[in-house]
Amino acid sequence: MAGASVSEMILFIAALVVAASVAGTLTTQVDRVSDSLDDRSLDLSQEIRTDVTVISDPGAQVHDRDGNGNVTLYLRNTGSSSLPADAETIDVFFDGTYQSTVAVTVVKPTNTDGSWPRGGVIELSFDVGTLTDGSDHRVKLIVREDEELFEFRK
Amino acid sequence: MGISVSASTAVVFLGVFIAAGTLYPTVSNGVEQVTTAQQQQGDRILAQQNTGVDVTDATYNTTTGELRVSVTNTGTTTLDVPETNLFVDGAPKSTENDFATTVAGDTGTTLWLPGETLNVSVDPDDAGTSGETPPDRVQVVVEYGVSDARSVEEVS
Repeated sequence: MAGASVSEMILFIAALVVAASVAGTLTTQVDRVSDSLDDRSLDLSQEIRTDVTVISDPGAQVHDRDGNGNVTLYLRNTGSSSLPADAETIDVFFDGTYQSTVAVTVVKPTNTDGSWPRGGVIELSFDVGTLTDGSDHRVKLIVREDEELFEFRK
Repeated sequence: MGISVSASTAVVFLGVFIAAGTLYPTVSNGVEQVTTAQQQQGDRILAQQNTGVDVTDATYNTTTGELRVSVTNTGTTTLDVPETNLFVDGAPKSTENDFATTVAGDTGTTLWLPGETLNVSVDPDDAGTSGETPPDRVQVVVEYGVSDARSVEEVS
């Protein structure tokens, strides 16, 4: 009789230990999923808020404006959030080639903190060397998964 | 045996409740953040579709070196004059900093209502990209990136 009670007690404790480990694993994993969801929703909402527009005039001179072989483009922040005005925010492809050296200057407003607020305009400048007269070119810009295409003729 | 099943079920359920309690606020906050962003995007797209400008006149006076640009708000949204960008031959000029602006005869206002015409008068020193070279093209960009361009006519 006493033997039966002891074995029941052992089974009871074993059942509790298994149940506790199942519950513990479950809460830990849900915690992780919840943290990832938090980060992802923040990223997603920032991506949705991001919108930029190339406002350069393709009818005017785009390449070699200052005689240094640079392509100069102007971008306006038409989204609903401020963006950092640095080259790391913007990926630039010129005729399919990634441009690793891009100079970014805030044109308007004339602030010094390097931010690019809503409605603000920045200047992108990158060296592509000499282009043949009359040749067609395309620039692709990616800012937080917002893609912009700009085509011009030299 | 009976109490073992009940007790372990209770522990597992407790774990499930704690997990649900952690997950629910996260999902709810996340959905709210994304929904708000989508609503703002929808509002932005609607405002962009309702915005329109037309450069009706662009003349460069070769005697005085003055560039005059007239732009009409052909949309249904109110635009901000300081938010308007003017490109002279592709070079950016801000209407706030460089130019004298008049909206429907009023020099003090910064609001540019639908149907009104914005007149921009460029200081001779600022005209063109290289001193007094007559400019060829002007482009006006307003909010949401809506723009219009026109060739400059020369008058004397």
